[in-house]
Amino acid sequence: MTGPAGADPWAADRALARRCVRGDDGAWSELVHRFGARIYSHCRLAGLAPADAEDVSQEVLVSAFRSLGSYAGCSLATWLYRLTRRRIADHFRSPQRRLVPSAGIGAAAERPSGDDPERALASAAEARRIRHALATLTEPARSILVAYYLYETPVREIAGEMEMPVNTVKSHLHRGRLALRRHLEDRS
Amino acid sequence: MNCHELELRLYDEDCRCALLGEAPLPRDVQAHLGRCPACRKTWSDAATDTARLSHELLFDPPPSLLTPPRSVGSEQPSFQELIGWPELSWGLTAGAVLATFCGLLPAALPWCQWTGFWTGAAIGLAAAVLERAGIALFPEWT
Repeated sequence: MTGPAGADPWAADRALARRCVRGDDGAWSELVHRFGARIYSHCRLAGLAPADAEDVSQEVLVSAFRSLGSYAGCSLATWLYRLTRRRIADHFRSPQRRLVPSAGIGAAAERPSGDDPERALASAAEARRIRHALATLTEPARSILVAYYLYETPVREIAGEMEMPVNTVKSHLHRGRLALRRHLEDRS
Repeated sequence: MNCHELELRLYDEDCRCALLGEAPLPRDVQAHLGRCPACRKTWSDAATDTARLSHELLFDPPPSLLTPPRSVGSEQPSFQELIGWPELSWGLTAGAVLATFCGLLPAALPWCQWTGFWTGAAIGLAAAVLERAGIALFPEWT
């Protein structure tokens, strides 16, 4: 997790970006492995069909590769969150988009992982319930929760991104988390 | 610190790390939790939610997404990709045109045509290679 504490909180992110710009394949792989799943998940949570989510995620990564030279002033997570948000907005403006009903966001088939199949299925069901609950939240709470929990973006950076006071972001986070909790308790 | 302040304090980075068990409890939070049972419940719920939300919101990405496309990693075209028969043809044509022009000059010396040929060839080749490089380096322009 990249925190804001210290003189240069994003030194590691900047070093990774510089290595990517220099053409270091290992650095690029590291970036893709660190953020690829989050970008894809962001797209799916926004309601994109799996194929569209994959396309938009690829576009985000290609766009990131091309503009990494200009990356500055925030964590890589926040920077990629911003890129992904814009791409998703572009996608919803395009006439070729495929819509997924909100119930389908959590209903997509996921690979059960782990050695215990029952536990893996229970975990997959829990994930589906949480994603479905997230889909019931309104904006900007949903976007703020995605930035905070999925990208692990610090509240200060979310506030800058959303152009709202830090305490407003925290209030949205708190109300959103409690709403998710209530939704999950009601359904169980 | 009162209970409302603690609710907002939960989302600071030091508290997030503490909720995930990656850092010790901040002193001000510890002091409040020590005297407020309701906030101990709030903290415990937040710890559960932080752990599960960070994990459960992640979808399994398709494997193709985690494999960096080679076209992204190697955008710089090689020398062989930049100079082919079309570029050489442009160079020869430009050289021939300039050599002919130099030959038509009234006070042309014998070496003038050769100089004209090589100069024209160099200019023609460079222009063709730059055009090819421009297409290869900035595909969005095409």
